[in-house]
Amino acid sequence: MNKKEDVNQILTNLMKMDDVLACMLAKQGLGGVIPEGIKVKDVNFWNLVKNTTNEIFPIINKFFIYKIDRLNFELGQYTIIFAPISQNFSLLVIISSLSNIGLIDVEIENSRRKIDYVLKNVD
Amino acid sequence: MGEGTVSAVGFSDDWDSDSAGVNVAKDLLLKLNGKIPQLVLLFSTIHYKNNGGFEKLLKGVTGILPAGVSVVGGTVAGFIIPQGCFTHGVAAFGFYSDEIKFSIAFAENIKRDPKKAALRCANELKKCFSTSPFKNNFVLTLPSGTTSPKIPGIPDNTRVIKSKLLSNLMIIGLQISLILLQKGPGREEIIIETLAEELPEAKMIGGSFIDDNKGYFNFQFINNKVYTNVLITVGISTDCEVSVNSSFGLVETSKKLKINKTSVFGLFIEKINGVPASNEMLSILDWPAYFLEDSAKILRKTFYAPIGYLVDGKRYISMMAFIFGTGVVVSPKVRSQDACMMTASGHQIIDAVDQNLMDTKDKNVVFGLITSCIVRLETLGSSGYVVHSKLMDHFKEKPFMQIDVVGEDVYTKEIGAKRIANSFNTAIFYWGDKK
Repeated sequence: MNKKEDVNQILTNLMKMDDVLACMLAKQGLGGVIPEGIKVKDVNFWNLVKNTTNEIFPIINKFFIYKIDRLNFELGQYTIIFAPISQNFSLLVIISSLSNIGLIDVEIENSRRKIDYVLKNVD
Repeated sequence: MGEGTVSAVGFSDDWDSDSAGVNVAKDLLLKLNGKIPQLVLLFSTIHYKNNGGFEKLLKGVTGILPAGVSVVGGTVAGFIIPQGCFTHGVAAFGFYSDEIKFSIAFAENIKRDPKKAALRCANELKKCFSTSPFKNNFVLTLPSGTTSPKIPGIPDNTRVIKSKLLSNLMIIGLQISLILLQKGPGREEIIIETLAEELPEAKMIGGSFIDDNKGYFNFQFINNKVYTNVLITVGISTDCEVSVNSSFGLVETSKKLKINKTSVFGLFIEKINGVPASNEMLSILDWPAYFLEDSAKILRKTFYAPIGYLVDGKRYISMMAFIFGTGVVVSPKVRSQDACMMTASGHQIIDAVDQNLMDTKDKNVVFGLITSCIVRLETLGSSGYVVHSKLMDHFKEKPFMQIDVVGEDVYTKEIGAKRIANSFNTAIFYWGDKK
């Protein structure tokens, strides 16, 4: 498997968590990896998220040396979580605002670490 | 010292139940270096629930383990093990020892009659302890936890039900369902108090089974069978020293309250300071009234606002679970009319780990069992890895397992029998100077 397939598998597994509505590996300059089975029903919202991820990277880069861990956007119905992996990549996860965010955050971190490993080690 | 004991933790994060069962058992046996465990504590997250998943999981585990190995456990919200922090997967803590005697006792129908269940387990453990050649006795107590009814049309994790009619129905339903359906509050304080009365020389920690903090389901495992309403107790008799500690990491605030009226076994607060409880609680906490319109706000905030009681110099904690009409549902039950609001920061609840582990810092540790409140897990999130680092430093190459539970139990002669929330409880087995 190549890096993209490995990352896609990690994201596909993360999507199996009930409260995870969408996730992707966001890449600076747009693009990235999006698994199948996105559960966000509001297509306009999901498109807005995908199209604005690139605007997050200047913020991630400014705070990267301060070990930026998470960037959370708490909206009415959804919470968007950015878990930066490097200055160029961030795991993005959308959960329901009624989710137990702490429990999901543990598996977001495990996925983030696995993706980080893949990006650094898999050819 | 301790060469006669080999223990290890296996893990699988497979999503398929069969594979997860097989792989966790294989991983455990690999880490046990050829030793066949006498006991395996098996803890899983709720994710294998559907389509007979837990039966398949257990079939996978018991199919790999040699015949005769006792397997007990159930569902937890997550766990911290040497491999990391997880809120998805299955972990197996296996023990081989010729210097420890393990015994298992379990009893069904604990929601209907928790005292009877505790007595049954205590009597079985008494027999095992009385024939043990070892001096120190420990009990890991694992009851089925509180379950909430899933109401059609009401989203998961809804914490506020404003309708008076629906609230009243929920309160009445909780009491009736406890007896008839055996669903509802666990009343686990009766269990730890009974076990402590019957086995006063033993030390104990425990915690209740739960799902992913939604509170709809929890399951218990005994060998290849799955249960929903069982108390499991694990007796450990040994010449190892057993250090049992319980820590909160909470600080008392100046916000005091008088709880005037409760019902439903002390779990439903009807009046605080002489007025209906829900509005008064908002006022005490300086929370705006619109929080009552927003379950997400209440869900996120109540974790940081536990209610504390000081009874005979001992600290007890309740967590706010729901707001039903004008009342507040808490768990565990109210312990005293006089209460105060407690507070915790991430730092304080992590510092509780250091405080807890202090007295076994330089000991010859064999293994450790830990029960930690689901509220700590929810508060810390990925910062659970800070706790993981501390545990790795403490246990070094020795195995440990923290299970994240809903309500914790602790008993020693010094601490007394306590049913608590928001706590971090350890039972650390180590060799003293004499061995």
